[in-house]
Amino acid sequence: MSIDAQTLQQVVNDVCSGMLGLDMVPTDQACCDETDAVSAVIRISGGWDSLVQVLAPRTTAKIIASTMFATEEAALSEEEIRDAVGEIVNMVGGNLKGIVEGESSLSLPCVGNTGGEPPFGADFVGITVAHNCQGDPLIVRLLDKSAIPG
Amino acid sequence: MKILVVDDSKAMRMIVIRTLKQTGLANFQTIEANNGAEALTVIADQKPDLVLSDWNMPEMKGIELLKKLREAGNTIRFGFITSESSPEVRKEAEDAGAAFLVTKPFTSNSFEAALSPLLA
Repeated sequence: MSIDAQTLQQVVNDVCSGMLGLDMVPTDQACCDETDAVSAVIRISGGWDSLVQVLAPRTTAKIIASTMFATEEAALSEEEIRDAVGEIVNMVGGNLKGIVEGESSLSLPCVGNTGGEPPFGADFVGITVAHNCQGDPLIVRLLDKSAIPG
Repeated sequence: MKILVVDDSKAMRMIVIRTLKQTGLANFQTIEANNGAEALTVIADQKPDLVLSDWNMPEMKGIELLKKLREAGNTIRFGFITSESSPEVRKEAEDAGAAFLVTKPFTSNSFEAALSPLLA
């Protein structure tokens, strides 16, 4: 089974709304200020070769971390904010891997500030889903490398 | 009951402990480890009754931790709490001696369902 946008959206919703209780509203506005965002990427390799990215503007990243750590946003450290966004991409990636048939392995999340550079480049051809997470944008991209010819 | 929570994510360790408190489980205390290697030391020093471990971690994965424990003759009750949910992973966990595997994202209900047979 391959992953479509609806499945990706459902997995993101299960993680953020089902487990964390965040208010998640799907939106077509798949954009955010990438100059001050936290990006978490995880790789699935083996039978299915793909990359998953969670892109959270700092406001959204703080909301997620505040919920996960059950603490005020002002009390969060940079490490805790990155940890929280990394765990989101870990759960999304793990669940997608479980949906696709065949043996694959999941990497550890790679988390950092975007600095304005889109991690997948301008020629990205994968699936992008966007949500308003407690009113702020949260973008998740899936690059299915095995679907790219050549 | 002493429960060791093993996860390289501090956020996830906090969520696991919070979720344990939402279950009907009473009279337990939690201790934490950041990865499998650290967990081996904590298990030797503090002798927990149950290990709840992530699968993918730096230093030592959860499955390696479980295999090392069983190789050493340690029969401590062990369950995985992981985003890994494929049939291959479930089988590997079961074959290695895990009592259960709870998939992230989870709820207190999925925790109770996994833990209740162990605590009966």
